[in-house]
Amino acid sequence: MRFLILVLFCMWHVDVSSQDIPPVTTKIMINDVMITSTPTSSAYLGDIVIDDGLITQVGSNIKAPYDAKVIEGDSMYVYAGFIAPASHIGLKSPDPLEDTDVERRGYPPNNIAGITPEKTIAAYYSAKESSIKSYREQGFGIALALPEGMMMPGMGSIISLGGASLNESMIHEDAVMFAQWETADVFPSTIIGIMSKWRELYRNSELTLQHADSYKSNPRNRKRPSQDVATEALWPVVSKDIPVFFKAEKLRDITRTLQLQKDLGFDLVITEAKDIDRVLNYTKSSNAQVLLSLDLPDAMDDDKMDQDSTSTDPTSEDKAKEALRLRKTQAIDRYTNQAKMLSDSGMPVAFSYLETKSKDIHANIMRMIEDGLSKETALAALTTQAADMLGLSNVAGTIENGKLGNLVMTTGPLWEEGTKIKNVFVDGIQHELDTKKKKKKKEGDEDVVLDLAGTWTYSIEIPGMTPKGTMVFEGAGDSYDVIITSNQNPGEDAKAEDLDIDGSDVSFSFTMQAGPGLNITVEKNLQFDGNDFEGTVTIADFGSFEITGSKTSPE
Amino acid sequence: MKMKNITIYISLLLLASSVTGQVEKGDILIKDATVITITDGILENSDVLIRDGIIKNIGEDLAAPDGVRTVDASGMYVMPGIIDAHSHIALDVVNEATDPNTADVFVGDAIDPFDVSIYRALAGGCTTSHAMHGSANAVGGQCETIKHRYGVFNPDDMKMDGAPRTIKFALGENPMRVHGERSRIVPATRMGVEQIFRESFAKAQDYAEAWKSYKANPSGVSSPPKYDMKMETMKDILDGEVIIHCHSYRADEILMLIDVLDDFGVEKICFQHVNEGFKVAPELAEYGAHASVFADWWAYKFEVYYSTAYNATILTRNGVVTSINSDSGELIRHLYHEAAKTQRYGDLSDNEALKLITINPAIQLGIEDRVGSIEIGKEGDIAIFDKHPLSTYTIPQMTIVDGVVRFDINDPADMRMDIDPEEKLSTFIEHNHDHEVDRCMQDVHEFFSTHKH
Repeated sequence: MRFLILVLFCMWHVDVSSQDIPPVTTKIMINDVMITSTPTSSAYLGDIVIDDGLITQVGSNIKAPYDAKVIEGDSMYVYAGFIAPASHIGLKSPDPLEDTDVERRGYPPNNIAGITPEKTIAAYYSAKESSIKSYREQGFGIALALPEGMMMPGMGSIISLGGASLNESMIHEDAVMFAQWETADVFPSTIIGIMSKWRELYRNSELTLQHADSYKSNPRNRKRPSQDVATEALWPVVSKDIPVFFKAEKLRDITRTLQLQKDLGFDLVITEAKDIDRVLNYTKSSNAQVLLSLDLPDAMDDDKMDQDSTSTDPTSEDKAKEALRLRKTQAIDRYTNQAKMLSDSGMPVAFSYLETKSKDIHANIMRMIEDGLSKETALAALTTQAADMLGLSNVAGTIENGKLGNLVMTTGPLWEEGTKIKNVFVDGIQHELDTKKKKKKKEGDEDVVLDLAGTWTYSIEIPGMTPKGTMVFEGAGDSYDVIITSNQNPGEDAKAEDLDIDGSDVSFSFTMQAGPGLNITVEKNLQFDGNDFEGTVTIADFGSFEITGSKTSPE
Repeated sequence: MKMKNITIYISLLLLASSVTGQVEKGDILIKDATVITITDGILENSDVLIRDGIIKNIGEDLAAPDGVRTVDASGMYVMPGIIDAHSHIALDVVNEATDPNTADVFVGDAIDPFDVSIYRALAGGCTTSHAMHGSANAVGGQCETIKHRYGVFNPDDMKMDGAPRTIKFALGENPMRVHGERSRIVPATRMGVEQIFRESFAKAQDYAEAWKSYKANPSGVSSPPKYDMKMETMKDILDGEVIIHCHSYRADEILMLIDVLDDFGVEKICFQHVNEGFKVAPELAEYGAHASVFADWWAYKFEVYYSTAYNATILTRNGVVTSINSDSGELIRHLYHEAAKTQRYGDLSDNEALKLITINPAIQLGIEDRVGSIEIGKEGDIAIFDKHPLSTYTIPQMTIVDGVVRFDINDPADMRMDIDPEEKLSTFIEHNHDHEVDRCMQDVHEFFSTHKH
């Protein structure tokens, strides 16, 4: 009995949105809020009632139902919940294969070759994955979750970002086939291998499907269809029941993907496109749909620009550098302009979220808007267009009666500088965000003056290895020279650049030589606490990893 | 200065106008040049008129039709665009080195229209090249004949539409090392290389037979055969639809492949490198085999020591259709020099020497009815030189593909097509890591740090 009381006591401390206990009421009324029900309609002051996960009333001067929890929406704005029509949200990365030895590199087993179209997200999904929370906090209620892997990782499913389990979250199981240009160590080890493998698999899938159909109608005189997992998993693609979401970022990956579609005829959604404007007409004529990447290149550093152009008597090398800088600026503009160019050509605009950090989404769309993308198109990309692409127009994407209770409440108009997300509703459940979070961070931290001078050891947690090394800080205050040495390559020191010290937060980057001509940029963000630090290290395109360390001298 | 750069940017954009899949064709009139036709002698003070990408007229004092650009080439030499029968430029991938037979892969799937090597080749008068799979496998991948339409964005627009299909084969050390030494599978020896060919062709015969009976009576066969991309290509070779281009050095192996092909009734074969071709020139001529050679490049590995700069001449004099190739992003910029070496070593005539880089490689690629000489009705691919192209002092002035000027000596310095905002880029005076040597063994270099070709 005492145990039970203890358990109950603990449960009171659990977040109300948690699924462990039922909420007091499943009815919510948002009072006096500026409603933008569709991307093209203008905001008006009204009320919204959500009952048991669905929107039941939208309009002005609605009388609050007696049993509804009333949320005051004064001065705030509300939009339909966002939809990510391509992402890895909620899914763990597959474990690396333990044994990749094969007898014939030209004929590897499918799993080693990265050909697993039969896989579903069930093996990778976890309701506790941090990406679910971080995307929800950016306003997302629904996502197409695509498994990670190599050329053909498996099928993607449409999930709600609200459920406590896959069963609760599932909206549309195995809705699309996911493919990408990731090669293996064995065949297909190149993009030309991937092209060939696609063609062969696809043709065999067509043949086995035909054979299975004719066997079903009359098995007499026919061999029993042989069971081949991969070709059978492609049957829904071959019969065009599901589309292929093909990750293709740069122009050549995009044209190759279109070439495959032209050869084979599947329904195609080009996913994570970064550089598509120069083949837009070709793309349009192929009937492929496009999801643009939100992973924009960094804007040009203005300081550097000034430094380069201060020389009064430029040499030819200076001139060449200046010309290249200009071309690079134009290239960055072109990448930022993709959404506008897509929209101008009459194609629908929506985004994919395979490469974007959730915290960059709003800022990067704002950059696109600054470059001329209309605010309506931007909102549609997050809501109605994304819903349309996933076949969800009837249940999500706008604030209308009968649609899912997925809403985003913001402190101001969505595309205004300084606007923050205050509340996100997913399936009618409120997730409140702490918009003052930043100020609540460990008190006093900002006033800390660190003494970093000395030698520090570090250790990085990368799956399968733990690189260690030392960092030597020389200097004082907010100005240090930092030399990073790795234990693996003791001779190859690197020097830190862009050192930034803000209270106990220290960040810098450096360039690591990973081979002839292959430079990798590493960014470190560290929080120091006495003689210890912890933080993250971002290694180029490979990902972010945890780093910890401590001071070894002077003690 | 900024203004100038913007102009460059805009001109690059205009250059790249053929994004719709319709390859751009141009009109141009070249005036008062010494025209080296290759197939019809030399015409002094002559004009060449190209309309809609095709040579419409050749002769003296041709009038420029309305709106057609005229180029004054007085004192200059005009020759057909140079053709390279062995190159790896404009490719993102060269070797799929995972199996001794990769007839299923196709480098036409990996074309990189932004490779600045294309522009550099144009700056050497070269308008067409044979983008080849590498030599890691006995049966390599299928190749693609490309026209150097630098400025297009769609890789498809680089392809020479309608050119015959070709495939790379390779003899000797490369397939033996990649598969025998590294993976411990056949071929570890030259005998093994032969067996790869014999086995592949024999299987393709069975495969073709199985499909033939299935197609003849689909309901009478209990199940459809498996679709096999390698066998599809091997079957097409047997049917004479694909020209083999075989990496080769030693005479004994060259004769071996001729025997194999003879046994399987395959006729279309061009030997590549073929450094010991001079030893078996009559046999090559008798079989109708072609030879595409280096002018004077050898001794980069054991099987390439027995070589001579007289190779091209000996092959030519024995009646073998011979060409000189680059296999390199550097040599492709001065194939006219490479051809001229046959006059120092072998005394070939001017026209014989120039045929090695024009009509002969065209024959080897099966495109001689379209390019390789200046004739009415042929495609408007032209190189203009300030001196005779076989002179050591000659400098290419302008290169035209399908009537479109793709290189002009007055072009801006930085002609890169694609500036990737996410890549670290240097100015146009850049290091080119992969291109110092040939790329035949690209993508497998990590296995063998020391060797080339």
